[in-house]
Amino acid sequence: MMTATIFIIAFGCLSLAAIYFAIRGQCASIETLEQLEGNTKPVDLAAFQNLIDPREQEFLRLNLSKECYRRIQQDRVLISIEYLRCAAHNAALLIRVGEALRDSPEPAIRESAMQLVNSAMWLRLFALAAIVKLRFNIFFPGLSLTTLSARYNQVAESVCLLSRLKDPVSTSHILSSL
Amino acid sequence: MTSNVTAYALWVGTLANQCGIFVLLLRNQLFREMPIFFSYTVFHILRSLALLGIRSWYTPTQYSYAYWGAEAISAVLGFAVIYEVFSNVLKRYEGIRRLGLMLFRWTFLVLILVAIATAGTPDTKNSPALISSIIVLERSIRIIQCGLMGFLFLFGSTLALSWRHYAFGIALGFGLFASVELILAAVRAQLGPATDHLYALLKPGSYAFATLIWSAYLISPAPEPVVVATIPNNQVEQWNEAILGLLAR
Repeated sequence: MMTATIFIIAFGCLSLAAIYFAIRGQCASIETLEQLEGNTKPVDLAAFQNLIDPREQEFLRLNLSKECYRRIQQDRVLISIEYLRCAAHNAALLIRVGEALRDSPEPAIRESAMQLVNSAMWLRLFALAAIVKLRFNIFFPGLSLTTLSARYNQVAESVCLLSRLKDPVSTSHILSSL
Repeated sequence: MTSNVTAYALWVGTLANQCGIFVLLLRNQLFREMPIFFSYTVFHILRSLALLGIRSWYTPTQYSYAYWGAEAISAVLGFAVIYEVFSNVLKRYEGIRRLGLMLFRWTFLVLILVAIATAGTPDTKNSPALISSIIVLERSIRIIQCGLMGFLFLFGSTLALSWRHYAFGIALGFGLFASVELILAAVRAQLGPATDHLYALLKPGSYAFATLIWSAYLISPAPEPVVVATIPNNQVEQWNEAILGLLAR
């Protein structure tokens, strides 16, 4: 009973915290073009592509000692995360620019602005998802989410094969639950 | 005596505030954009007046039934208001509208399960069964509302969505009121009738505060949007391609 009450009160406090952060974000919103330009964080796309290039990673793995490769790879991942943070931040500013132009009297600008808002929003979402993925890779260097999903599929197939051999009737139920 | 005066002052203040909100919604034509919030406001004005009449002319038991019945309707309308605010925010972002609504529905389902799980922990103190059940039900409703408001704010800040001024105000007031009521209901369920006095004062107090926030946001002018002439050069598409490649690995 006491644990449930603590959990509920903590839940209420978390909700209040979410409100606090929302107010802070709303207060820090951009109001002038100068503020907008001054707030962007320059990011080099080519450098980022190099950092996440699997061939580059393979090259380093083959030419460096295991310890050195591990250290360098971790640094590369941390830098990639920083790049992604900047990209997500810039995407938020581009969303504001797009929104400001969405009501433009010129149809071409209006169309481009809507496309910009859409693309920038997906960029922000992808960047945040990629940060989660890279953080996951730091804690579990040998595993990637894609490998996990491929392994899960393998296990699911093996279970189905086994069940098909043992009990062909219930296979469809197992298949649908996996 | 003092608590009676405070309760009366809160009641009058909230009613006056809601009448003000009603006028502002009509004057700014916002009843077209937020019809459910408008209905919610009208319902609360009528409810306050009706409950005053019932309290004067009927028995306390009848008043109690009327009060909790109105609370149930208010809770249902509250869910509808949250959904309306969320739809209002997403309306301007066609690209993520489907994703947003899907996540909202899943969050709602998960929160219902959490509310059911917490409803299993009964009131240990010696409250009458009916009061105890009502407090537990109220707690469950507030858990769902707080969770939905939390999701709304997190989703908005994660995707850097810009809110319409009044929609943010409505969400803010509703979120604060739902969070405080959740904490109050949890404390009341844990400590029993000893906290009735505090509960009876803070519950309408939190609602009065929410109505103050709503009126403040409806009165204050919306901030001017950024003036931009052209779309700046950007590499959004290339960035999306690069990050998608990373995510696919």
